[in-house]
Amino acid sequence: MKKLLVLLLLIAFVTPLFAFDFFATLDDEEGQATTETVKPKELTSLFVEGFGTCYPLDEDEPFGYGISLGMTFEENRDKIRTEVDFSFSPILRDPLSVRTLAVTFFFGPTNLKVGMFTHPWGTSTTLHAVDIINAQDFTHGILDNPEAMKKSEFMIVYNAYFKRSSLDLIIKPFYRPMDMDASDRYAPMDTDNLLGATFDLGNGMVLPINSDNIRVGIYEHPKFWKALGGGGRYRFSIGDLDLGFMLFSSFYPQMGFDIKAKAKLAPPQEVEITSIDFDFTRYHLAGTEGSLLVGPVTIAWEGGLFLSEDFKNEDPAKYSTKAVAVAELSYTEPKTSFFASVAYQGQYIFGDMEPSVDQTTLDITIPVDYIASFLNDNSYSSSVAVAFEMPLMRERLKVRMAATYGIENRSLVALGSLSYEINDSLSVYARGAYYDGFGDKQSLFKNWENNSSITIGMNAWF
Amino acid sequence: MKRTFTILLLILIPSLLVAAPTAAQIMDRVIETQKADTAAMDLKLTLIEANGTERERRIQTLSQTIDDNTSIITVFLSPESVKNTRFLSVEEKGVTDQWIYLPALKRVRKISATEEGGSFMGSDFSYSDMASTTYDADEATHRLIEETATTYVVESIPKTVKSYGKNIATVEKETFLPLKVEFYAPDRTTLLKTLTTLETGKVGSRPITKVVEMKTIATGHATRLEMVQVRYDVPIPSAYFTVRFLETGRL
Repeated sequence: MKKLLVLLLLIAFVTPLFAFDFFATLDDEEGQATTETVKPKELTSLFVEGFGTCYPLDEDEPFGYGISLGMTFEENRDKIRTEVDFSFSPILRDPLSVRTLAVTFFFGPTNLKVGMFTHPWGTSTTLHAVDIINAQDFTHGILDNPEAMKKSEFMIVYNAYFKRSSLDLIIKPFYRPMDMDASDRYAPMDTDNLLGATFDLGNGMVLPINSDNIRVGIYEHPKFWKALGGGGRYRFSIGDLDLGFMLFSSFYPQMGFDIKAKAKLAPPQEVEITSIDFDFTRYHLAGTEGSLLVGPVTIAWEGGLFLSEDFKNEDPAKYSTKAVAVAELSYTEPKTSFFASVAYQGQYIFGDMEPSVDQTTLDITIPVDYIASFLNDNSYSSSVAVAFEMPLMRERLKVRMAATYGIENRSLVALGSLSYEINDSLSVYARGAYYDGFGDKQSLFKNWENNSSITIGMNAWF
Repeated sequence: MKRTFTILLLILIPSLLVAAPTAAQIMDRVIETQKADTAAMDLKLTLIEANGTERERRIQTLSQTIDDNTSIITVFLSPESVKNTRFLSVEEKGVTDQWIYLPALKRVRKISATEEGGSFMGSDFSYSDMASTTYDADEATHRLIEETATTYVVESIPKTVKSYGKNIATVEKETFLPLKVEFYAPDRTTLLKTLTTLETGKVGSRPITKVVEMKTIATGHATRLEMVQVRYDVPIPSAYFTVRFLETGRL
């Protein structure tokens, strides 16, 4: 509540608040035609969202609801822009969500932005390989706009624009990990039972896992300066080809696990997990992004090599080096603004994926990549995503569909929504989310099977 | 011989000056009247359903023509669902490149220039209608089909049929403003839309259409386009017509 009060006070002092208005930059009124008294429009809006959700497969908690109040402000002065964008959802555990709280200083063709915000990289629209500046929030499941899942964080971003190219440099002084529920509805896995109920020793023996006497370490993520991350991207255009290259150094947004486990072959035969400590992995990214317009079709691609600090694969608690690539074809129908895209994402992990047992000490080594892959040991994993958006009834009704299928782990998330504008400041929507995992392989979407849902909600702007 | 030629010219010129303009000349004048090196417009689009329900969209558009190459930046101001969307069109050596900045995606996307056929913001205007509702002499074959004391009525058949097969424009003689334009389907007989000028005015000495309404015949849906503010030939910094402005919304 204190945070909310501070924000409201801050907003109260940033007046007047104007949107883009070219006419406000003109001095003389001579030769000007007007049909109404024009005041610069304030770029200030308030919104209220209310929704109810039904989870038909969840017998324990089949209904949920939510309400959120939001405010956005933007003030543009000669050399400075101030942006504030936050929402307050009283029923959430963390009710205040600040999406933007930033000041941008403009110096000719360059600008410097400081504050809490998100900064996008990448050229595709659905799946990404290099859009890694900000971590994502998975505590509300998967949304059909990846940008809306991002968490803002404190950053300093310098942008410089040249005739047909641009450069952005980023400094992230702090570490902000991805948000995942530990035990609630959207917990990615049973964190009390990370390795499942049994463990396959690989020699035909499958032993039950005993974690009754486990010692759980103190969670402490990298702090200021140690967490310092940063990098830059250079983009340029040649005809219809846009190309960019980037370097970035930071920590993976997900934590690693240092798990100590031992096989006990004497009765009671079992695998005993003795401790779990948390670890974080620094990576250095060298990546590229690009897009090429061919008629109405856009070909976009992203690719990156994430060089792990543990590039020799000596520490199973650290994530290994990996390569990720995305290719996407998207199409915009000129007459109707119908948009469709299909994307493929592939990832290869350069490291051990399988747990191993020291036959002398019976100590078990469990690579964190194995856990992060939901106990799958494929070095290569890939997924396909399709999405479309169709405005109907003169943009009053919008139909959106998106689906991602994990090829190796046979998991699926399908999202669909209908939104209808009753008038310019009131809209209603219906959203559906379907999570499933086919076969016996573990996956995020398989673990979320009971979270398939239907939501009906309303947005109002003031 | 020289003297005879001069006399002939002296006799011919006055008759040329008073001769009625051809259909092509009329349509060129229509285009010429609306031409400017730079233009800044603050527009209000009111979408009117057949049952009278109205929705409003507000945009500002800046354009600049240098050596017959026109660049246009459009900033969407309202409603909330499209606020801060920016659209850039840059013509260079006859080739048009277009980009759009979508605030929800926080990204600039280069888009196909063929999107001119689509509806502009769900209105009854297409992207090409927003650029011009009439054809110049080179784009179409024009025929004067009626002349009254105050107006010309010109039929224009485009040389390359895209959205329309025929236009019939009623042009005011005094101002060369189109008072009414009928848009026909490629079959040249089915009336698709009508554009009616509801209010005219002047910016300096330049006549302008201040309020126009485009109606789609099949649905009864209409869009009223109102020039809330308009300025011609004002200095507009070239930096507006850049991807930088598109991405940042600032010069």
